[in-house]
Amino acid sequence: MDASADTFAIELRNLTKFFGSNPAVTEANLTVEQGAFFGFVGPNGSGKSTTIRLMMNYLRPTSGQALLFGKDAVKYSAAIKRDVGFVPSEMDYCLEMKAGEAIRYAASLRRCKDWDWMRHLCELFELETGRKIRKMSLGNRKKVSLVIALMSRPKLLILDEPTVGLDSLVKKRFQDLLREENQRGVTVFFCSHDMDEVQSLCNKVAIIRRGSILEVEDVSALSAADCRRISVKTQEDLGPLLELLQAENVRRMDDSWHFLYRGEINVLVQALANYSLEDLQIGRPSLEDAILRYYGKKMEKEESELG
Amino acid sequence: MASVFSFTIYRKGLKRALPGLVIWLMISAALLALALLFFPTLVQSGLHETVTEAVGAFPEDLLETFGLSQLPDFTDYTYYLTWVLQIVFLIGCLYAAWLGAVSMVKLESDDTLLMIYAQPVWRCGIVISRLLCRATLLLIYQAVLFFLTQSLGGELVMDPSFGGGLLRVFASFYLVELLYLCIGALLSLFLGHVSHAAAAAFGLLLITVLFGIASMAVPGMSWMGLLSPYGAFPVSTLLVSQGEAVVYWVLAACCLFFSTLVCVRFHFKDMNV
Repeated sequence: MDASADTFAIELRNLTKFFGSNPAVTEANLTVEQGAFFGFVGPNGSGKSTTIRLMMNYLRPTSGQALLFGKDAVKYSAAIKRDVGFVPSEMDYCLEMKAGEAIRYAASLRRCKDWDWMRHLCELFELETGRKIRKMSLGNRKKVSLVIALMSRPKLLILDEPTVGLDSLVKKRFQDLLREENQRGVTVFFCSHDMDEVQSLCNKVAIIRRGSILEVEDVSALSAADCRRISVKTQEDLGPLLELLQAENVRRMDDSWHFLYRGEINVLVQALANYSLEDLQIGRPSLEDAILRYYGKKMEKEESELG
Repeated sequence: MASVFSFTIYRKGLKRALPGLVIWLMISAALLALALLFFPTLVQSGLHETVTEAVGAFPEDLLETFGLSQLPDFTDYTYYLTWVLQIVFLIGCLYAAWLGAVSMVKLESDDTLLMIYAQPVWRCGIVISRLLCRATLLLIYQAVLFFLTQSLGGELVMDPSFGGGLLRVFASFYLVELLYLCIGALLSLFLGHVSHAAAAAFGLLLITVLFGIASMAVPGMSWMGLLSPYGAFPVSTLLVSQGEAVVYWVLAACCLFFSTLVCVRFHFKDMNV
């Protein structure tokens, strides 16, 4: 399937899905350029997996369209999937087969005969191909789905929590492989709850909540430059001070205070000098902080609209 | 390029379902073999005379009400074979309905569809490959039972005057069973879990058999016979002569209709994975 360079790898146009009267995805609009490493984040039940299943045509949209490489995901599903590798969040399939058998089955369906590359992937992920999938741990089952997704070197990888259950070594190898593939021009659509992972891998991220895409932003912009992540260890109560300084996302854990601060750093340091501190750390906020802050603003807005 | 038939899905389906086929065949073949080998003993035992004498003690009106005024003569081989084949047919229809009911829902229940449909395959291709796989299993089932009946059936079934009746019977069985397979496959798309398949298959067969019985027993309800594939071919008639051609065409058309419905339904449904 030929896709011109100016075609988006993924395009969602007012994509909507209702299950009965329950909206799972509501007018989602999104574009992912070819060659992007795109993150897709949201809380549990926000519609991430539903959106992905709509893109892969497991589910039929109630209205709207999902396009992969400019082609409708419903009408051209079979043709599109030649160039798409998909890792689902669950890996409970082909339980009665051995791992190698499942991989050969997928390879046969895909008419993929690059056995050297498949062998390399199995070695890279330390996958025991002679074992029944039913008897494997979650992480090992996940490895099977990774090999199946990567076997034909697709142009687009749609990954739904691909590293859940993987040990650190295999996780790193997988991430390195993803970076290599992305540098080769492969588009990666990466859905994960692990914000550190999204932050380290992705250059753009979309946030979804309650079936609606709230924001699409560069990762670096989202973990805002004007904000700092502060951690203070003290026996004293900093609550009134932080309220005065308009600190955000304040969390207290035993004698540690964690918050986000936007103002002048000198003002903060001078204010804290009046307290007996055991430790002070100042850093850039994580993507998680940014997204939690984003959710916080959205919830405040919703509450004020209801109020 | 994806095609309407995937030999990979067909072959994998055959391989996975073979153990089940072997079990059904063993049970059906054992029953068939026992029944056919029992016939000489039945004739020699004088059982028919004993039963006739016992039944004769009942009032004539009562016997007429229950249709027992004229008992089938099981010492007549044709009669006996008809009854045996009718039972074999019933088991075959149940097997076919079960095969159909399991065919699609199993892919969803065990999430295999999650992997299959991530590959470049058409939805209809999955259906067609699965149905053809199940049709092949049924064909193997019927073929084995046919050869078993031929080998154990004695001289009568080999007699040219039998008119090739046995082959005609089993071929007709196969056509009816294909219809049960297709209807079962359509039901399969509405089931929530593979554990419901057995009940669905049994229910399908029971209802259609009851329709057939009702069409014969209840005045004015003969139209119900149209809803009973099981009653399409009276075995006793098929043993000696060709069935009505229109019945074959109607059954074939029904198979095509239901299998098309399966494709259409599967094409539009949300996959439960």
